[in-house]
Amino acid sequence: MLPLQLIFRRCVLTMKSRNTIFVCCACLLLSVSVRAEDAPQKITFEEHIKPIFREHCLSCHNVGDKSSGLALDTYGATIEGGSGGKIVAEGNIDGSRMWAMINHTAQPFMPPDQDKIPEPQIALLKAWIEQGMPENSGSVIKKPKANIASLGGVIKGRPEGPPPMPEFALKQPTVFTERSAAISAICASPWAPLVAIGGQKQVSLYHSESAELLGILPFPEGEPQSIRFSRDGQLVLIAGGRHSHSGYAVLYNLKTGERITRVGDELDVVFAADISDDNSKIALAGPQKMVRVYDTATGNLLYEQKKHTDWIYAVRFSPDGVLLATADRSNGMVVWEADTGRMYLDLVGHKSEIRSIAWRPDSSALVSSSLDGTIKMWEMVNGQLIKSVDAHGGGVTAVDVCNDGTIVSCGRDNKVKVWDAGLNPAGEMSPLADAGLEAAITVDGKQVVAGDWAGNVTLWNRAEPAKPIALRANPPTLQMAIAAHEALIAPAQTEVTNSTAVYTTAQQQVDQLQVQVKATDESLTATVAELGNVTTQLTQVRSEVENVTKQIAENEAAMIESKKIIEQKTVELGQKEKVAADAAAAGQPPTTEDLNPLKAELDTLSKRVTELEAAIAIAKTTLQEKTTLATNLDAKMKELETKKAAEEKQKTDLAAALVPVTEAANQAKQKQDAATAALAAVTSKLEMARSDLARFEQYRQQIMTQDADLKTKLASILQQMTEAETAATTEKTNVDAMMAAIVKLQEQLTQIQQQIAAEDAKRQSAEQVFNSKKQAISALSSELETLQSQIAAIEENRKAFQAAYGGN
Amino acid sequence: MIRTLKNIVCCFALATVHVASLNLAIAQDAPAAPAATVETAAPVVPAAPAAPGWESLAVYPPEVSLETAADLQNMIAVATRSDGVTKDVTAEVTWQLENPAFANFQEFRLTPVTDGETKLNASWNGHNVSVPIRVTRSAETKPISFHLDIMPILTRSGCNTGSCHGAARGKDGFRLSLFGFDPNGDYQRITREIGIRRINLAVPDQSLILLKATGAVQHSGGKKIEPGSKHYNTVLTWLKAGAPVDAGPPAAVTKVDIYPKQAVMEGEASKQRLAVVATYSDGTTRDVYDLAGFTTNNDRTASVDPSPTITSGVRGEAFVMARFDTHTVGTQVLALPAGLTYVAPTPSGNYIDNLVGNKLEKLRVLPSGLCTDEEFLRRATIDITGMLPTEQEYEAYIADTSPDKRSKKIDELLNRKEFSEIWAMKWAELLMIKSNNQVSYKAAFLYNSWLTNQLAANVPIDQIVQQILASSGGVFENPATNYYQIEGDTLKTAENIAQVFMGIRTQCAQCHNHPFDRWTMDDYYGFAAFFAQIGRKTGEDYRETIVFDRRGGEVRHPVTGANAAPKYLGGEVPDVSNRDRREALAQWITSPANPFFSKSVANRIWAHFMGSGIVDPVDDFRVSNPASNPDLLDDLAKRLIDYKFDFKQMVRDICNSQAYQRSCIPTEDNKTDLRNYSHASVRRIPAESLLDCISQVTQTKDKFRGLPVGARAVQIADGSTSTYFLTSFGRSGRNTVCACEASTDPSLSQALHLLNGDSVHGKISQGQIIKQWMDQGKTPEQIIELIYIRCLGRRVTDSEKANLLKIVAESGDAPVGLEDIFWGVLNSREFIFNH
Repeated sequence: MLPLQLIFRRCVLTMKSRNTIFVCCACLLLSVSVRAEDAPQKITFEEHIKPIFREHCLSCHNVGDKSSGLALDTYGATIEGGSGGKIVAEGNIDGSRMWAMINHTAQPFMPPDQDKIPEPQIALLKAWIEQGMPENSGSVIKKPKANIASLGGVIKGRPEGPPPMPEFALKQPTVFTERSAAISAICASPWAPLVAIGGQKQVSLYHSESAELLGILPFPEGEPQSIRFSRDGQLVLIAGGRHSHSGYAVLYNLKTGERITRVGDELDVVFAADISDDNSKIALAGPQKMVRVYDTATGNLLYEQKKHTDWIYAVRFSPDGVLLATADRSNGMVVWEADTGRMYLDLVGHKSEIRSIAWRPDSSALVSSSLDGTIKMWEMVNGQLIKSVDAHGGGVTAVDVCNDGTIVSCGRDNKVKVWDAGLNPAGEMSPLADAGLEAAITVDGKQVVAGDWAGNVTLWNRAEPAKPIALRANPPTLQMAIAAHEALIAPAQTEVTNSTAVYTTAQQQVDQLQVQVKATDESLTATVAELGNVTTQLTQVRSEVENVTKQIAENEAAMIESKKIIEQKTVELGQKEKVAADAAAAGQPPTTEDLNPLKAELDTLSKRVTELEAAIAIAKTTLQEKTTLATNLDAKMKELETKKAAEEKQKTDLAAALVPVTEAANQAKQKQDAATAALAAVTSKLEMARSDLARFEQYRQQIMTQDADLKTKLASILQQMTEAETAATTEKTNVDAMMAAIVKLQEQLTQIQQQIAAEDAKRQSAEQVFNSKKQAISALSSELETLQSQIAAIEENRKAFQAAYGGN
Repeated sequence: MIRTLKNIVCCFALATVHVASLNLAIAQDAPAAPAATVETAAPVVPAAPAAPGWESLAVYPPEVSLETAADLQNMIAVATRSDGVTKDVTAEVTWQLENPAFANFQEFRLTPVTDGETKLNASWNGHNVSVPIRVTRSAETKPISFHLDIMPILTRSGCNTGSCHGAARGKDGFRLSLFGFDPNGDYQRITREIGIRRINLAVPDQSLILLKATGAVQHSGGKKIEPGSKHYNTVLTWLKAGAPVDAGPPAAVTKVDIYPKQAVMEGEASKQRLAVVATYSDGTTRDVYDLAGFTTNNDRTASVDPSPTITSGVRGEAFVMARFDTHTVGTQVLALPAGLTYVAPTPSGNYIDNLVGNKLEKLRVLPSGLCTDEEFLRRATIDITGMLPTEQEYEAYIADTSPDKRSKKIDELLNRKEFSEIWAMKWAELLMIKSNNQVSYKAAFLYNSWLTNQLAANVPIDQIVQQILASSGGVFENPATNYYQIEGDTLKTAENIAQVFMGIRTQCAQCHNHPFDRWTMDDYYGFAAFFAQIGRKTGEDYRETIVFDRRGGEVRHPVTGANAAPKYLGGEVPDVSNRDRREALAQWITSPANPFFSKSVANRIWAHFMGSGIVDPVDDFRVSNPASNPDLLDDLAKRLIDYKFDFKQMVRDICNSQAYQRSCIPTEDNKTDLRNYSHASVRRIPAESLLDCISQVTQTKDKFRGLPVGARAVQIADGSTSTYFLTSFGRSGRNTVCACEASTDPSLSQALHLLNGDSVHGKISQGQIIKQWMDQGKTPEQIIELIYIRCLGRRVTDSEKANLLKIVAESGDAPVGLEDIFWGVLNSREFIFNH
């Protein structure tokens, strides 16, 4: 700013000098033109443009003739334009019809039926329009305040791609206060899961789903009283200031957190502000009862309205940007045409101060909330009241509408209510701790945020209206967060250690038990196997015993049979022998041959019996052996079965014991896991806070560096300026000296001219005198002649007298 | 000639209609009084009085109770001299704390140390005073209370005055209740009305309420509180604590004491510190030196600064008031020149003179002497009957040589019917007897006749008032009911009754607690509740309204929204169930329990005869408008009760007093005194009486609507009947109950009407009195004498006579000249004033 001013001053200075000395010195003119090349010369109507008009245009377009209703002889008339409207557009060469016609890019070419006016003059005109058409050297050239490019293209519907979210480095609050003041501003992004909450000299941005702090927008102007997102959610407009002192509206880029522009310079705080759908206008108002609408790009006041009779609490552009609604503390509500500022509707109906207004997304209806306790909906064709509901006892302090038309409101009854697009009740959140002051509903109505007088900000998922989540309007500083997290780490670690120890112990118990279980199992298995063996053996032995018994029985039966047969045979033998003996005795011939087979048979039989007896004896021995074995085996089996039962019981007991221990171990494990997770979370939060702080510090550093760089640059420029100034001063001194010399010379010249004139006059008078003298001389000469002749005559007489009388 | 004279008088009348200059004019004109009837005041013997000594020492407050850690008490010491002069000796006294373990004494301020009891001893000039000190709860820090701590700061700083945020619509968007009548509402407005604007609990010292008050941001009211001051810190502490609302109803202020109760200050620019202590309903006390508001009713005599200290000024009397909460208390301040020598006159006269004399003695003022018999006769006749003494009365009275002829004259005058007519008219003014669209002429006439008859029949005023207040029935059949026909609004009725019968203006308290008196909105609506059940309906004759007791209907208190229970003004809450509330009220108003009725009536009577009320205006009794002589007023009121409200007796007492009979010529000593009856006051004759007097002296008759020809103006029944003369001379319009409706203020139209209107000139020519006298063969000299006696109640002086005879002679035609003189006399201030 400084250099420009200096240059202007310089220009004015030189121009003034030029005017004063006007025709004097070529070298000075040269110096001026040199300076003009140095810096963009300020082209003004009075000095540069009017002469061009005078030369080419004024014969038709003067205030008397006004061809086509256009007069160009005054600045005002030129700006006003002709019957076809404006002919020049400030700073916009393409929008200036005059230039197009003069430049022969549009019909009718001007001046008519003539050549184009000389190029340098066209260039001057162009420069003049581009400079913003200053009237005279005192006019201030308006320059754009905001970088229009940074406003970006405006997408009115849902933006493509991921919704705009803050991506900047600032999570460091500018101010931290122990408690939060009454909540003064809350707003939800129209597209992103994002809510903005006003605190002391800052606005905190929270993720509406995770309730995570995403960033801080510093508002050093004071307390934010109004937060608004642009239609595309890319920009944030924060308005507020210091009460009874100053008020501004500041526009931020949401992603980068950069300040884009600041408008307004109120003498009191700004209560409400809004940015139009195309970001072109910012409207603001407050206790000064004036609605002021500014051009976002230039910061120029477009219009202001003073219809309101009391403090203005609410200002909202319609989502389509056509209308602007404002409402005040004396029940007044007005809808304006946003472009022109003409009044469109005067909405009368509220019985007490109107605290908040919001548009339905289709721009066809306006919702207003008042301390009379009602929310009213108005249509926008005739301004008729569509619906009025008694919403909150004691007054409705805030109302907001989201993209699907769902409405949220809060009031002095501490309640937060949701309404459908038709203003029918659609739910209520858990009550606030104190009187509600601000409320907002997030994109598509998923979350509701409200703030109360005591400074609490509460977020609800609409699905869980009884589950409030607290947000802070006064988030702690990163250092504090770090400290807090750091303080949490040790206990978290202890918790991990403790829970690990508990778990380890529990696990050991489990392990021990499991070992026991395993041993028991193994033992049981062995027992079972042995039991099997024993059983098998026993079975075998028993079958053997049976076999042996059977064999014995068979043998005995065979033996008895054999014995029987022996007896029979013996009897038979006896009989036969008796017969034989008898016969022998009887003499009959002995029949020896009949006895021998029998005797042989008997022998065989006896042999067999003996064999059998031997076999039986052996078998009985075996049987005894086997029976003993079986008895042993049986005993063993019994023993094993007892063992098995014991072992099975032990196994059951162990299993039962294992359940709680395992449970405990599992719990301990869970605890340990949780503790570990908590530690990890804390650590990660700490890390995040640290990294946030680092980023912040880096950002600070960066800003400082930039600042330092710029300051260095500025210093160097200032240095250069100073030097240039010095040089200029020297030059000026020279010029002054020359001027002084010139003036002196001029004075001398004047003096000389005066002298000449005087001399000339003298000469003339002398000439006159001379002439008269000449005449007198001639007269005298004639007189002389006469006298001479008289003298001659007298001489003659004297001579004659002397001659006659002699002597004197 | 007539033109010349008119010019003379015109200049005369226009130049000065001013009491002081009139006094001088009369003094110059007055003939030498016959020595026999004049008693001059006791001669002032400037005996060298013994140098008065310092008689006593007093320390205020007389006992101190310090509760909680932050409590404090500023102490003052006042010495009194034998002649009553007081002196602030706070800085000269030797102060000694008996036991400094309990309290601390620094800069004349006591602060607590530990719980206990001790004494503060003050000794000065041989006098010793000991003040008991009790320290309790010294370790306790009381939390800041909005009601008890913040509200007084707002009031003291002037935030809630009518010109600032106390205005009905507030100021610059912020409203407070006027003088803090609605603390709960103020709490809501300060803390809750607009989110963060007024208080910022996050950064309390950036709260607008503090920034504005300290002038840190633009504030129409300017800087009201010094940053860092005690008040500032109190508010800041409260904000830091979260601007809490009081837990439970706060203790109410039950009384406020100001010390010293009286100060007699000698010399200009002497100082007197004040101590102000408030007592709360919980028994605690508080030094409210920095919370009370201080005002004076006479800044020239005693100015007061917020420290609080009185500075004396020019000689006179002032009343310095402290206002805290709804209480206004005052202290009487007399400023005397230093080194004044004064010897009190010997007391004489009746009890009134004793009391008036006491006050004059306090002021060291000597009264004027007694008036002449001529002056007395004219004064008493006008005051008691509203007429002038006739020539016959004059001659008879002057001829009477008995020593008690004045009191005999008074008795004689009191028995004339004109006496009751004057009072009927005066009450008719206050009762606003007047026909209008609502009230028929018949009703007004009946009402007035009833009133006149009551007074003529000597019915005591308390009974009349009872009849009026408790009246029921048709306005024709029972004219007293007209009272409730004339004013139909409940609140207005209550206001009127308070003003007329008790001399109290309660109007302020309709919307907020009375700023200069004790009346709160509770009092106002409690009193109005007596009139909530009046029923009115139209009778058979459409002009007749019937007033009856509805036995239903209540008055709602606008702040609390609750029905107000009937409560006597400044009295108790009576049981009025199943009873006409007005009957109860009528009985109370006229009962001795009501301290206001008898005082108000006595004061009105006094004011009629003395020119100004002891409380003046007569219908504005309030703490901040104290009686000039409270003892006198109390005594008169008491006697009025004793006389059973027979106010003839009261008038007799007043007229027989020397105070009434004093000369109206002030002395050098008492000329500044206007309220203590050291000399008689010069009063314009009231409009009706003046017209009657003019008609009387010109022997003409007037005709008023509804009255026979020759009726007198004081007999006019209907307030809406008037003439140009009566209106321009300030006849009461009977539009309000204010005693100020009847005015004796001078105006140009009065002078011009007398000069050029038909009242004087027309009546002179109409009455033909000069012609009659001439016809009777009286000489111009005799006629001039007659004119003087008839009009001015005195004989013409020789110089006047000589001058006037010259005028008669110059006029060429004696009757014309005499008529001019008659005219001139009627135009003189001596005629139209009672002196």
